[in-house]
Amino acid sequence: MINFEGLKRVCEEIHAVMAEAVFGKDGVDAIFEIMEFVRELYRHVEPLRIKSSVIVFRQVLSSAGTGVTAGGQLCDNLGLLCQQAEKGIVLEIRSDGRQYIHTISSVNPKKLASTAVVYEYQNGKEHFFAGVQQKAVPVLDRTAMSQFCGNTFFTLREALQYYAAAFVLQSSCLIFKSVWADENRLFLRSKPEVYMRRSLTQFLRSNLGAGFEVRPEQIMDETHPVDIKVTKKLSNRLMIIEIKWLGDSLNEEGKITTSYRDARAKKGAKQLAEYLDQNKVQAPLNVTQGYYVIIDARRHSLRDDSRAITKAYGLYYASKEIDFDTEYHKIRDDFDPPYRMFTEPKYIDN
Amino acid sequence: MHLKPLSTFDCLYLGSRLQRWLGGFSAAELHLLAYLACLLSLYHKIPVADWGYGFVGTEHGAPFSLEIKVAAQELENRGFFYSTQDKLQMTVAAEELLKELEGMSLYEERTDCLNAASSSIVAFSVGTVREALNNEPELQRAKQMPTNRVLLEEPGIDIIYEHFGLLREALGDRIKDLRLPAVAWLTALFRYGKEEAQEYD
Repeated sequence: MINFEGLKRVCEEIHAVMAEAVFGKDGVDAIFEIMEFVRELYRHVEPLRIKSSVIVFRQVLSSAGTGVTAGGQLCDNLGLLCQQAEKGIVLEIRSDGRQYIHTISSVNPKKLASTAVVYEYQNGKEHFFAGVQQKAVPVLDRTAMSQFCGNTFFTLREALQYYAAAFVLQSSCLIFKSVWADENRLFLRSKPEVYMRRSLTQFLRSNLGAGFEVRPEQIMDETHPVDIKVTKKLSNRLMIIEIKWLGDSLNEEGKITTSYRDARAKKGAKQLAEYLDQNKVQAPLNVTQGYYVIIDARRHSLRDDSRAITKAYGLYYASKEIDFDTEYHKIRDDFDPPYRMFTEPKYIDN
Repeated sequence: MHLKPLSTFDCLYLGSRLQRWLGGFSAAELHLLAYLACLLSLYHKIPVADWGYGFVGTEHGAPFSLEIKVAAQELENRGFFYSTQDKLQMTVAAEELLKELEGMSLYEERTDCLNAASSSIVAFSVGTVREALNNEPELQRAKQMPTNRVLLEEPGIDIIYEHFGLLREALGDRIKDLRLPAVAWLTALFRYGKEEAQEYD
């Protein structure tokens, strides 16, 4: 509940409040400039690829005498920085809005903060520094590697395509990671669908535009809940998402208990088509579209005791499409082409 | 159709920021951020009637203003906004019009509120702002009704004033920059708002 203690706690945590307390209005302007720039930076540099750290700073007071920001090389193309992500990136935003690259060894965030507002990303954690203070960035989007790498999609299609490539392929979503039973991502854990649904729901909530409402597990009839329902506000558009997974799941004793292959995917498509038919009867005024998400974790030749996999076997199913008996997306206009999202294992070279 | 000055200015201002940061926008972003700006004007102790237009909460818990809808449509009809692939964009003429209007005293007071509301999408994603505002007490109450409900009327508005009174105390009265209460309140709504909403059930 929102009360004085809760609000006080939030105010003590907020980095922008810290910047104001240390540097006044200039500190607030600096921290918003940094956040705006970091959002732009992460369109070019994937936080997952950052092995060292990213530091972005904006001088607020004169740095004369501190010797920390002399020089730097003008950066006029953020796209070029993606190659540098592994080694670390240090960028200064100057008062004219231009950015300058510094060498990582020349910069100490805590020292810089005596005259600047400083942002640092390191090991998946984000902090701001100002004066002698330091604040972690509050984590509101639990799927993202950074709170500043969220997108805004205006269609569900675009959002699902991005989710497949950026979150599922390498299991980079922090919630999605929980679907695995082993660290090499060979086997799924028992009932992984709970985490898959949670991951996609959270992703859509954070990344769809203001016109959408996302709700997990919505009842469509007396017996069947649909995984996720997305409503387009201010219109009669309804989108229902059915999620199925393929692959092998392990129980706690390390035995394969479930192996889902093509038959499972076909069954899910039929199920979604039936939901859509029922929905036409129950909500005739809504224009409903079905979206079928298949999380594909199939691996070739797995046994209960498999601990590693070669690239050839690990990626064997990466481009093997499902051969649907009935291609609903071709015979009905309320069924999007299935979104098969392959998720890669950590493999060893052949 | 006649263009109403306040809602037209708000659409241009918010549209310009959204285009810069998101590469485009939908009408829903305009309604959401205009409502947040109106709420922030209450933090500034400006009477709600002075905002110039009202909002209703839809059954989905979304804020909606007829004036914003009409202004956005009229801006599109007159070629200031144009639509491309499910989103709206602003033309150069719209940016020029905004520059002219920004200097006028009529808009001075609301510019702080619009700036703070739109800056919230630099601190958070649009989706996070939407989710946080979903927990705002007035929109939560609207969600529980099958029809649209007028927002920011008594007694509902009293809860907002109460929140802002506490927030002012927590931040300290000297803070004048609305970007700070905006970020703090949205964070609090995101974290604690759901529990608050349940108390009204």
